[in-house]
Amino acid sequence: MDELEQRLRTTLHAADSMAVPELDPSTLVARASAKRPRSRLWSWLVAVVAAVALAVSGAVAVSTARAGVTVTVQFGDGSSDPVVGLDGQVATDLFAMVEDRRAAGEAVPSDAPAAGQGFSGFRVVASDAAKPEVVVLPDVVYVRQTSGWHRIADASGTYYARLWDVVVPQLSESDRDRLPATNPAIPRTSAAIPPQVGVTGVWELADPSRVSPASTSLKLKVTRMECASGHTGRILEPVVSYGASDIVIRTDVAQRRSTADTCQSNDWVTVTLALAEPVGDRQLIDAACLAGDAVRTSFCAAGAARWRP
Amino acid sequence: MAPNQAPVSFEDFVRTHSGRLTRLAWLITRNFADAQDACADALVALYPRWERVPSDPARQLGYVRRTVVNACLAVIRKRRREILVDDLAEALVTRPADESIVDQSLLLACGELPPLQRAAIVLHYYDDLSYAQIASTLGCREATARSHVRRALIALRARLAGEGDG
Repeated sequence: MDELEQRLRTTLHAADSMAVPELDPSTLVARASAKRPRSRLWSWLVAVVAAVALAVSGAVAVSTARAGVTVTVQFGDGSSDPVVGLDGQVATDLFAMVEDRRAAGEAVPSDAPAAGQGFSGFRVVASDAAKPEVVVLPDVVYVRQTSGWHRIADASGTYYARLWDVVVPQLSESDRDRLPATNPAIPRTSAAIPPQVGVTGVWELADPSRVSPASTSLKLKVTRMECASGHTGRILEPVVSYGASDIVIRTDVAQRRSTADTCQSNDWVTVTLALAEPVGDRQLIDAACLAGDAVRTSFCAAGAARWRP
Repeated sequence: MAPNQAPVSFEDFVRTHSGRLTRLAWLITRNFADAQDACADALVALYPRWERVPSDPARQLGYVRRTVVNACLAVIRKRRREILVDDLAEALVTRPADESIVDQSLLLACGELPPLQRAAIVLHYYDDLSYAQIASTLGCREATARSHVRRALIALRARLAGEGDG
């Protein structure tokens, strides 16, 4: 055995001292017993029903995919207005919210929304002619119906916030600079926002005092944001984006199979992140607090920066 | 094989061996949640046919180990586009004394090996299996098992030499 092989043996055998919870035999037996064999006729029936359901959902998916929805960011400053796509689920939720408010009699006839003089909101247009054109501003939503424009008051800015969270990550840095200030303040970063690859996880430094401009690795604590009965679970490999004045880190977690979960706080899992370059004189930013469903939660109440030089 | 050897019950086997099998799975999958799932899935699958598992302790462990390793490789394949954080190094280095034992760069390099090479390395250097036993576990020929280990060592040497130059 040469030196490398000896090192391998020693390093791998360090695992012998790892404390691992033992599997519970009764739990395994219960799981195995729950997987009872079914009759061939039952299996055939299940397969037929599944095939029909798949065909129906496939038709719906194709129909939805063809009905694209775009958002125009109306800067009204003489430069071109960027147009981005709107996520299918967000679009569905937006149109459903509008319809609910209209059904409740909260849509009041109004003039067309002002445009062309400064920022005038997000204009949402669907290729499906059955969906109304919608213009979303921080405290009001305009809806174009067959009888003309109507306005729906939205003092809490719910519609605006929802669109902001999905539109902003798609904009260039220069376009983001043109947007009006938000509440809570979302910092502009020199680094691009790493794309979301899983379910939202947020992070903080395990020991901020150990971070310095010379640091090339960071010990993070990550927790899953959604309800998960206290278990953060699988953490995806962190995605890092480097800019001149900040380093943006995203710590998503894997999709869970379970759906019926309680909502106590989830555990914090420690992860060591190796950086491609030293921290330098740059802020460390949690990407989850720049855009997405964590922005307006308590996780991001203190802002997106986790460390400053 | 000892004659008249009383068969080990499923429950006793799990109590005795699940810890070691979970560590083995962790070294292959590099993620604790996946390792637990792979072990649990393998044992759940074996329970209904436990009486057909060899009763000789060595053969019994080998039979179960093969099922666990295959479950690990299946879990790794199922990850598809998900790249889970490698939490093995975090777990191994929990005390300052560990840092002298755990070769971090070697550990990281092992994590970058293709799954079959990684499994072969772990089975040979952690579980101390012969090439014949590795072949039986992975369901391949002995020459293929040797090749997996040899290629893994070549890759590790190249990776560590590259770090030394950098």
